[in-house]
Amino acid sequence: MRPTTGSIFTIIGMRSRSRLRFLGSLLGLFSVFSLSAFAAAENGPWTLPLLMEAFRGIETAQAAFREDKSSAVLEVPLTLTGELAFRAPDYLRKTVLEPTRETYEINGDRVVISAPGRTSQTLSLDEYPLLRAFVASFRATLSGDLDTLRRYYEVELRGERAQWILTLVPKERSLAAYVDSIHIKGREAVILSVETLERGGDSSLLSLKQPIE
Amino acid sequence: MNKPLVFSLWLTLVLSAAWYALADLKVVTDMSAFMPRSGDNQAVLADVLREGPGSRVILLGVEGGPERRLAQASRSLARALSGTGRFSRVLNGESTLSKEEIARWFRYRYLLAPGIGPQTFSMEALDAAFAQRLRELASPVAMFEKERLPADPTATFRRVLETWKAEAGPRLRDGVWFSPDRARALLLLETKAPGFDLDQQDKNLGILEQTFDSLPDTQGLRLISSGPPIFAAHSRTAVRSQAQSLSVIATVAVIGILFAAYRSLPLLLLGALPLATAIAAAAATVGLVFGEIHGITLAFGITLLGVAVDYPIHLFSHLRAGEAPGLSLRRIWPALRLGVLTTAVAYGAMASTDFNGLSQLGVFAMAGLLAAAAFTRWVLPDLIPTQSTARVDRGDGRWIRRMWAPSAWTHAAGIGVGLAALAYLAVPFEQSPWEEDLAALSPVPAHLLLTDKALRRELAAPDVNQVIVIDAPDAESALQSSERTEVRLQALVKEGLIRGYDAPSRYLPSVLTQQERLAALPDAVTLRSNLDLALRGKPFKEAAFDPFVASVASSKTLAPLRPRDIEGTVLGARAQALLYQTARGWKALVPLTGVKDGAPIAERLEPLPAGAQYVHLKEATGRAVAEFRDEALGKVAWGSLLIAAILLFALRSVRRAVSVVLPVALALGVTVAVLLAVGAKLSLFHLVSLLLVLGIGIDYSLFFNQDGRDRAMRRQTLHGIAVCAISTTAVFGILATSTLPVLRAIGATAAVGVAASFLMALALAPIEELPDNTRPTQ
Repeated sequence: MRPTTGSIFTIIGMRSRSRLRFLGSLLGLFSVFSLSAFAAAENGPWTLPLLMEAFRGIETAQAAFREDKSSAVLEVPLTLTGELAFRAPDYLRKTVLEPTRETYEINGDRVVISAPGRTSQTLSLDEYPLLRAFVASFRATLSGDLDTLRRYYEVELRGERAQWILTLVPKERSLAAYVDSIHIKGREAVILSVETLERGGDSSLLSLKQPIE
Repeated sequence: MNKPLVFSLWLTLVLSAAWYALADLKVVTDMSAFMPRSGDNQAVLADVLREGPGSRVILLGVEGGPERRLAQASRSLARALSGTGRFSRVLNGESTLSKEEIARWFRYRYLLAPGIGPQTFSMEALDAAFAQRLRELASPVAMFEKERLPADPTATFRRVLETWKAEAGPRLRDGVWFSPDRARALLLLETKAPGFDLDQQDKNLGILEQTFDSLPDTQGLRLISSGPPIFAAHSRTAVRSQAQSLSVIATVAVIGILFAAYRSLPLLLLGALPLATAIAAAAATVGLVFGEIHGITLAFGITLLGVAVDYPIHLFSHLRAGEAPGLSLRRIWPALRLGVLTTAVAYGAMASTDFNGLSQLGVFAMAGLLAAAAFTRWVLPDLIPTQSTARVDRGDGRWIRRMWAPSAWTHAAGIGVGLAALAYLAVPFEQSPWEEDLAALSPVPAHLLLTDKALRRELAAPDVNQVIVIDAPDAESALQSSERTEVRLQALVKEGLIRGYDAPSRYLPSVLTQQERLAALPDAVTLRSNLDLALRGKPFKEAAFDPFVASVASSKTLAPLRPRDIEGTVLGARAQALLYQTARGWKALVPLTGVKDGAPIAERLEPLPAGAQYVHLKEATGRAVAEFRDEALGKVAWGSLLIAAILLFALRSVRRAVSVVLPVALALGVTVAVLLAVGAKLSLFHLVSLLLVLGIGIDYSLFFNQDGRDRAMRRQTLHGIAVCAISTTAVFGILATSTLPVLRAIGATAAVGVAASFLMALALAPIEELPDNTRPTQ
């Protein structure tokens, strides 16, 4: 029986001088393996923690958006265009330019809704738990906050680094009464679109032109 | 008199009175019995105090844990408390309307919403509404409001909900109310039982504590509570426990004094009988006359009957060895009789007031007094065992000899002190000597009041001090008056004179208004044409608002909601708190909140709709108390004159009448001066106690002025009065140590007054040389 313990050199019966040389080539082999392992990690499975970590690296982001809202009461979907801005960890601003100018500014728990010619409205997400959950779907994703996301949604990630889709299904019955699911599509740490499927058939598709990173 | 017959007669009477009192007599604890009977204003006040919205509100705080735990505790507690069925409202910030209720009120939205009129369904209005809805559809919150859009494009139901939403409440965290520093979750309860039903409120408190302790979510957390029901239950406990402990101490003290004075157990036991007789007779009399007895009457009445302990003491002190007690009694009976008569007049003055509770008290005290006197006169002497007469300290002690020494000097000193006191009183005071603030008489300890203030501020709970009270023959007219009042109040809100108000018509409009709104609903054809015009150029689907047309059509078939239709619902509970049936009709309450200081509300509200009255609670109670006090003072003045007249008639000499009255008058003056000098403010309770002092003081004075005395008798008189004075002062002195303002007032006044009466009577007693008749009369 071959001894299984002891130095590998003893097992293959090497002498000291060639030991050194062997060691050297082993080291070389090892480095090669490491590098390719590293390369493999880059091209390896795309997981939720990896996605979240990628987003956590984002400080600020801007994008122009187009939102198509289809509703059972509308003949044609309502189309909005405007700009989105994000600043880690919890600042989000949606400026609607067409068809009517309106700005929604979310800072922590406070929401300020303003429009030219109208007094601005302030509300607290505390008082609108449903709204807070809904805002979290976007904001928590952008700041890489998986805990908050998981508090409100069942989170599932499919696809790969270059093309992934994050599916959020509301956990609480109160939100599930309105929202069936939210699908966020993206590439790397960039969100390309957010599709909200509502109970009752209505849906809204937010497409980001200059991608948010 | 046939002794056995008299004795058995007494026994029968007392036992039957006691049996009636214990078995049949209902003791009520409704505080409003101590509000005056007559006068419209006062009756309204009593009603509001008793039934008012503020009186049922309990404020709760849950603290001692992180926010999430507190929020969860708040939710569980709210659910559990709603399930007990003892609270008409349990609010913690969560939405309180059930799905069924929301659906039901949604159907009735066109009858419930303010502002529904013919113009609501015009083309222009619909056009504006659709434009607004389109804008809202574009917003992120759209999806939460969309459900009702097809049936309610004018967002009428939203307006209904906004109308019902309480004004500025506390901040929401995690969906429930929190204090600004987030250390406390807040809840607000409204009990079904009225605030002053102490028994029910006691039960509520118990259930509250039990529920809190039993929930798993509240383990380790603290519950703080406040509000009128809490205060009422707490005061009752405090008063009861203090009254019990103090009366035990006082009884022990009296027993000690009596034993030291007479050193005889049989006499001690017999001495309790007049008081027992008095209480039994008094309770039975009140029961027969009024049908019930108030708890306060019992408590104060027994205090006032303290004078009945004096009667046997006088008798015991005058016992002589070998002499039949009946003879001893007859020697002192003239003075005793006169004393009883004058005290009865003093108490009778109270019986004749318009204030239910006080007249009960007067009747109680008078009946008890007469019963005690009758007992002492006819039954007690025959019960005294002959051997007891020998062991009595007959006033031979040296201290007695030394004490009795009235002289010109003591006369001068007494009058001097009295005049000094009167001079002190004559000087006008900077502040009114009367206690104007009822809160100072409250038995609620200061820290509880502070908690209440803090919670009330955090919950933004209305401090219900100003109310408009509407009396109406039926619910419909009450609601109509409420609506008219609302219109007037809206103007006040706009001007900033008040922050807001609450009214029953806000939750349940009058039938008249509902019918007007029904009439304003257009028929299907008109609505359809307005709708089509308004929809032109808008991206809505053609058939999108068919549900709206159908909904309006079906609304036209609805019958207006009446109070009984909304019973048992959250909406009904809200309305019921402000609209209820009374014996005389219906009453609606419109409380005002955030009234600016000094705002001329009364003038600006004129003229109010028929049946409506503006009540400023604090002012009104202050006025009621002042009126009552004035009336009491008046009665006391008349009573005093009557007493003086009786004395004049019985003593047949002005000089002797003055000799009797002067010490008492001066003693009263000294008492009031002392009380004011130590900073006390006089209240009703001081007045009642002064009445007691009057009765007792006259007794002392009369005894010092008796006829047919020899030195031995005089010493016995002094002994008797000294024992009376010491025991009475001891009892009321003990009462004065209480932490409750009311008991303290009574105790201090009576203790100082009785001591002063004794000293004055002693100092101002007539100076005479008396024969030293040591031979006892047979």
